[in-house]
Amino acid sequence: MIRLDNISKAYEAVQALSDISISFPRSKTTIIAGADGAGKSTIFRIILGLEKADSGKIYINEDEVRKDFSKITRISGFMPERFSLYTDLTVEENLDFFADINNVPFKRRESLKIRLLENTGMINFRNRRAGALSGGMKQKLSLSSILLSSPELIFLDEPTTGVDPLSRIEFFRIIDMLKEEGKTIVISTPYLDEAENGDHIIFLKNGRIIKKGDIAELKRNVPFRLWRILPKGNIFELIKKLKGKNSEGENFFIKGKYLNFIGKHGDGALDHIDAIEISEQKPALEDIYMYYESEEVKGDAGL
Amino acid sequence: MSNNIIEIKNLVKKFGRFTAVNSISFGIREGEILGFLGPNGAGKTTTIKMIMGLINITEGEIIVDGMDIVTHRKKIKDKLGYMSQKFSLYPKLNARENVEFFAGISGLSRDKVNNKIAELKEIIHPDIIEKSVENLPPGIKQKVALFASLIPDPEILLLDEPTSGVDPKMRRNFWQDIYELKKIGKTILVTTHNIDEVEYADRIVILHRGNIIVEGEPANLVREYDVDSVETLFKEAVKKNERD
Amino acid sequence: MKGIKPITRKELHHILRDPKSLIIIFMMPVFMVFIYGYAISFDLNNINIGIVDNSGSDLSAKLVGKFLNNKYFTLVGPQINEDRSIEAYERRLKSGEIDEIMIIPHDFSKKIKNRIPVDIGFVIDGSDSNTANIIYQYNEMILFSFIGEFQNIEDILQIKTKIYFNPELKSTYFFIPGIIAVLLLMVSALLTSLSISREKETGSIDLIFISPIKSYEIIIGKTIAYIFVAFAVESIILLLARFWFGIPIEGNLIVLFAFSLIYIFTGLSLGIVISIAAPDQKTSMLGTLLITILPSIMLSGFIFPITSLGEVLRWTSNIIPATYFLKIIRSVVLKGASISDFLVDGLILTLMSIVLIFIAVKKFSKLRKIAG
Repeated sequence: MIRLDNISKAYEAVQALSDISISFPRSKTTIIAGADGAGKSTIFRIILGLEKADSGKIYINEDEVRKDFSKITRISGFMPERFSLYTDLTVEENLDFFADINNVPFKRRESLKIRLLENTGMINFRNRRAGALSGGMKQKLSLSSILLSSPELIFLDEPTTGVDPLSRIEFFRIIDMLKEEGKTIVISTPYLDEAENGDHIIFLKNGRIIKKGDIAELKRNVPFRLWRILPKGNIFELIKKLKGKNSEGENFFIKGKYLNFIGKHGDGALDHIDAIEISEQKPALEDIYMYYESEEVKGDAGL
Repeated sequence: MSNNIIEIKNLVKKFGRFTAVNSISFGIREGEILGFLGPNGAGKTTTIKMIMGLINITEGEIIVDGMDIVTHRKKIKDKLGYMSQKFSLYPKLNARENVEFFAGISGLSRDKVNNKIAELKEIIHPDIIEKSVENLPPGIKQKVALFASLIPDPEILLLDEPTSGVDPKMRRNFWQDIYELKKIGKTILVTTHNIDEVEYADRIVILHRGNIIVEGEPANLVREYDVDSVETLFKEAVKKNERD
Repeated sequence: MKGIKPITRKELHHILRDPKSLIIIFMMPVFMVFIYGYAISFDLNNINIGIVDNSGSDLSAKLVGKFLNNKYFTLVGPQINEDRSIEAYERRLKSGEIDEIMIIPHDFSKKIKNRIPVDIGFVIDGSDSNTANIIYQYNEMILFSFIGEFQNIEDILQIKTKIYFNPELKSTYFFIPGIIAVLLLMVSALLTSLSISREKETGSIDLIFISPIKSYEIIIGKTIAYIFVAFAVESIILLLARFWFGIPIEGNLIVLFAFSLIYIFTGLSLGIVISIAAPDQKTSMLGTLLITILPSIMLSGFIFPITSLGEVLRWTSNIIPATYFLKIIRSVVLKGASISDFLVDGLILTLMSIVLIFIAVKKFSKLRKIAG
């Protein structure tokens, strides 16, 4: 429903986004994954009209948006990276304020508010000031303030940064519920373990798309294999040995007691090594990201 | 007899009526990487600050290399290196000036400072050594911060959420750097709130509401608790702690 | 228009929820009133004056008499066989023996009688600018009363400054209404500038921006909330002035509050304009203090009479809102003047507030529609 076509944006000397073309599939969760400064927030800000793109076009339902971003904001909810509600207002006052300025009819608001507070387990905190809430609660409050105006599109900019692990797990449970209701959700995150919760992914680095696609499909078509080795002797000795016969596209890294080996061609390199255990692993999104990222670097070098 | 280089016994920290750390005991073995995991406000940073001698302990003991923190604060400090992704560097200074500053306060001679700068140039690109740190990508910032924390050549490194906001490749590379440090005998304490990251550690301690709820080697713990991942283990342990 | 109410209500919540800031907002003005009321005394009782009377006429003797016939000036004259030249007086001025010299020209009497413009020279010890300034004002005042005894010689002496009479010449009477003018502008500008820059810093402004609420509703909503606060501050200072310092408030309070409202509006709009330009709360606060306090104190006539300023500064004083409100509040409080006496000042102030609020809304919409 929303489509970005060749969007570029620079801040002074920094190219925040270069030629970004993306769309968000309806009723799916799209993850925008990238480190700090990759351009995640800029994408949201441009879609919502909070920043102006230097070039490129934005469409909603194939209708180009030039000036009137209310076409988008009317049906969207946005949760900025930082907690942006009022810390000195209570949970309920915050919800009321955002319902007011978003013209949520009073009748619908009251029942919806109670339901949201109950669903998020905040009903007993309704009179507590937002500033006194835990990170996880703040995040749920921000989300609730968005949901009050029943948006079709939900944009969440790093919703889990600074949130404890347990609340993160809980958060994605709520996201799944929203998806069931048919909402289109876009989440940015620097954490690829979290990205596993999405349907669709966009890997972003330095304002450019490294790879995008359906997560299940990306995982089905991994162009490399991953093995986990528990070495018998010293792990560094093993690395030295492997480095000796390392060929194009092979890579390894230590993770705890294990040496992980990425091979493009097969496990030939692992013959004749001293290991207690060698097992092939299913690559996670992190491994997939690493692969495409290094491919891109190689591509650049070739130019 | 333990070969713990840091021994923490019944450590308590109270801020007024609030108990940040509630009588925790654990050890850090010489030459190991200990992962310190917990939600925000679990007491991770408070514990690190007490080890650093930056805040006083309310009750209990911290013994570093056989010395008590209360009586040997200065000597212990000389053994410790500290880095946090958020606060370690001065954002307005460039990488070289930051390193010069930290080398200066560590009392390094001019020659040694110059050596350090030369080393830094090998680690990060010479072009960006003169750029304000605030304008560097997080991965580079992290490299510089780690470099700066190693200037006094500490035996023990305390890393407080060193990988927050860093891209996956940089994070993985960062851990490879950490293994290099382990290889040369450093002891490393790393805090994180990314569950998937604890698999990099030799041993983990999970803190929740000021209590230690899990301690052990990640792979063994998963087997022991009969769960599919550290994440599940964490969830179960937190639930149990909340009930108790 | 229905967007105004939630904004105002929210701002009132912010104000009431933050007792620390509230105390600062109210204590700072009270503190400043006491400093100006007590700690800094601008009254001088013993000004040593040397008089060079080159005219030696009846008229000049009358003027000299005016200066010496009050408790402020004391004549310090040379002994009979001492040097009477201007240079000798200047030496005395330098040594601090006298504070000022008055020089009456030889053709003083003739010129006045023939209605030819004439200059009276004053040399004032400027090492303490405050004292000098007060002496300057006293001089003017006495010349003014001298002129009052003749008919139509005002033009000839070309004294353009008028002093609003404050019969006891107490500086408190002068300064407390003045401090209201300075503080009111500062407090109101600070209120809005901090409120908006805080929203910019926390990012809540983005959430407001993407809501359907109109820009003018946000601005109006915020100003309404802060008008209450600014009015409360003004009332407290006026109460202090009346009952603590015993300043008689001569004029109509309703008129005063009506013009205060316009003045507060000017301050609130100014604060909004500043906060839009400032990148963060710190800059916004410093900018507001710099823009509101210093010019209001220095260039509005609060401490230095506008006529004593250089040409550029004198021109600058015309664009400072405090200049106009100061005239209004002094007239109302000290002279009991009615609207017709300061209609022009009131109109200029109104115009200023309209222009500023217009700029504020424009700038705010621009900030919001950065993509439009």
